[in-house]
Amino acid sequence: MIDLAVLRAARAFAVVAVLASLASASGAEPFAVDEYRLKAAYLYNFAQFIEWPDEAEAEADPALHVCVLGTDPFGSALDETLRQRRVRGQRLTVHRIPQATVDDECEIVFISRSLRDALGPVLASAQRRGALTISELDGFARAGGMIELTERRAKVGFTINLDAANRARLRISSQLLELAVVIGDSNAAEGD
Amino acid sequence: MSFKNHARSVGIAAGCLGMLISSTIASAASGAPADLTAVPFAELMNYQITSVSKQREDLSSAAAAVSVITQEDIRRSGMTSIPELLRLVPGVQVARISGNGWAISARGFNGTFAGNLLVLIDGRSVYTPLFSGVYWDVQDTLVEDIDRIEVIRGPGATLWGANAVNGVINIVTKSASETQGTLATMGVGDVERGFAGARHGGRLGERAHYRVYLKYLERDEFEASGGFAAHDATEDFRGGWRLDWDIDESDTLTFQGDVYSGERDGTFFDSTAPPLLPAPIVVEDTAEVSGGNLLLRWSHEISEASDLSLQFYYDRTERESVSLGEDRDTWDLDFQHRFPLLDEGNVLWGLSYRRTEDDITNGNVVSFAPMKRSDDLIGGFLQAQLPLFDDRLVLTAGSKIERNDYSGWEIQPSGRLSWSPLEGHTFWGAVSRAVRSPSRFFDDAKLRIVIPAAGFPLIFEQVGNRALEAEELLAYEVGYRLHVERTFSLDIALFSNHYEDQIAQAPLLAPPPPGVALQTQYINGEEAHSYGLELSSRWQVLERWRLDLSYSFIDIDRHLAVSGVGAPLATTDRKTPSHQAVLRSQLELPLDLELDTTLFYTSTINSLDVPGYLRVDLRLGWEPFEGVELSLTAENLFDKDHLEWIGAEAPSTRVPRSVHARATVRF
Repeated sequence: MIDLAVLRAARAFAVVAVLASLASASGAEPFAVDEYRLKAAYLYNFAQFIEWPDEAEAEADPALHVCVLGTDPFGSALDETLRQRRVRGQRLTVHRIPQATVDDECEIVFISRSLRDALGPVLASAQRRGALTISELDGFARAGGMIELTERRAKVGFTINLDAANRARLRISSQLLELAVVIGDSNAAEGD
Repeated sequence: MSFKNHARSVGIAAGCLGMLISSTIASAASGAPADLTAVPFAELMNYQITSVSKQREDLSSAAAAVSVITQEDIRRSGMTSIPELLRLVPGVQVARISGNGWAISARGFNGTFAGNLLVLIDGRSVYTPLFSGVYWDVQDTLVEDIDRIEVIRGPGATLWGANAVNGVINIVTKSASETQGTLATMGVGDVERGFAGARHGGRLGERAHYRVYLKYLERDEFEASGGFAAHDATEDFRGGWRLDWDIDESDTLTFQGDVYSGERDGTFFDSTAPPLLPAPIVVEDTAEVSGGNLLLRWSHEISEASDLSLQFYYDRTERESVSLGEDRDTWDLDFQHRFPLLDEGNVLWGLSYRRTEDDITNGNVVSFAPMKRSDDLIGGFLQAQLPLFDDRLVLTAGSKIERNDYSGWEIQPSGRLSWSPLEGHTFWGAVSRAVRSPSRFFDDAKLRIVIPAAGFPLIFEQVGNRALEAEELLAYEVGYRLHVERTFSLDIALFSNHYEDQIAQAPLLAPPPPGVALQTQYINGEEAHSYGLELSSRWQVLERWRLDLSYSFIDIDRHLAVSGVGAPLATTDRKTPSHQAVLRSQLELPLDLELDTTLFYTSTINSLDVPGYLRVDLRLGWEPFEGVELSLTAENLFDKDHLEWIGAEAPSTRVPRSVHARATVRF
């Protein structure tokens, strides 16, 4: 009885194996992903779902500058993820800025945890530039940052401070807002 | 890569081979790491990261045999109940007794009333002190809302306390913020006659999320061994909610609860009627089950390395049938605090108090005296974790001290060591002591059995014993874990368990009451030694094809610890299959189709005369549109039916082939 079942099972698996070889090798269903490879993909998605006000002017510049401020946690993940990627025709380029001021070029600013104590000046300089600010720092969105990457049960989520984004005249797609926890400055005040 | 390594030892060779194959395949499949930017964002948000969350980290580098069933595993298994899902875990023995009964154990000693596993749902213990086991048929929720099922094989008593002897099962549901939106699921099948569930999640203000759910299911009866209907159908209706409120940056409040009500058809051998027939009398019985629970948990983060939580829950269960009725109320208060120790280490300690009150309605086979009883359980634990040598070596040591009303004070220490010499490789070892406290049944129950002898009924009675000590386990474990990012993982655990004072039945020496031929009672009369191996591996063969293989072996040697007059009647039989294996294939096909195949093999259970069986499950899933999922699942595909268990309490039923279709919509 068992032998027969083994035979049938083996046949079933043979079918599965054939189907597997037919299936193309693209897309992914990994059981777990390296944290910063995942976060790099988030950055790419943010770039896709957010429009900058001076898009017309930007088109003259063929690149969208992603700046990592402070100690870079990504390693090679960010470069590997964004290499060869384009958003609305613009190439994505990665820049590392060790100091706490935002370069004029930056459209997307990732503020590293190492700048925890310099957050005020960093945000002020990013605001002057009208850059999208992203950080993993706890309470970043409530402190006036635009996108705070959060983590719950090993999954990455994000909080958007809509008022902060509006001030920089960034247009955030509703698709992105649906995925986010959205707060405003009023909540930020309440939190303090 | 040199092939000299292969000659060294089989273990190293297997490891290298695995890495070699997986890295070859990985480079052949894509030539570069997978492109996460091609994944839809909403889907990306369901990915888990490997390296951060403290809890996660503890789990992956844990010096224990830990397996996790993720939501994706649950979805792709096509299974509809929590006990069935546990079949996916190596070293866990799941035997279906009937349409609504399961015998589940880890590392052996399985039985209808198996009691060596501690089971928690969102931090609430569902272990019943009545027979120190679990009523698996009432442990359910909307399976789509389960985040993961963590299974720790081996003793977890230092953290979780008595009865976490052979394992701990933690069923963790998603937080309310992860279950936003509406989900509706419906299914029909030949055995799964119909099931439907709905959940809605929303926001209350800016910082609180909630969800509510309802679920209904109807399961058909199986066929009993003689070919007649087994009278073991199930009907269940339940609902619940969960609220997660982020009060501020460091405080979270969780408030959740469930209520359920249902009917479980069943049968039992009526051994009290003087038998006139050669076969035992089978009585049909329907249990009315209902219950509910409320849980409140406050978590406070003091700093990145320090937090505390306070949890309270109340749980009520009711189970009324002809054979026995039980009402039970449980109140539980639990406090935990974690703080840093030296540079990288930390200390976790906690205090807990539980009170449980029952009210039993006696049946004619089993009766309890007294019929009402309340018990208190108090305990505390302390566990320190100390990384040494650049975090390469981590020492974890601690103990639980507990007092229960059955066996008094119990001390359950453990020491664990994990060593990660290279990235992705972890070796670990542990020595621990755990106890299983006697249950209400062993203390207070009386069983009345009538056996015909030469046409004349002889009455046997089995009576409780309040002098019982807790069963003791001293466990030695070692393990190895290999993790090659994204492509291959391997987990091996070896154990040697030494049990003392195991509870067994022995004749009572005092003259039996008039009309009773013989009285027996439970005594701490057995010892046992078990050893075994558990192996599980996961291989991402192609981007779209994953294989999981697990195998477990166990051998148990039980013997009497008492000899002469008053010795146990016989050693309790070994009811655990020696070999078990599970092979799972998850395949993504073009056109948004998924084809998932699972093979289960279980060897013969010698003492029960249950032959070994092979079960094949097949699931075909299709996502025609974003948010819509259709699937067809066949369980036990190549076998009309098979036996998994023979119990002494009721006629055995056969587990049939079954098919069900399901549709799930999210919006």
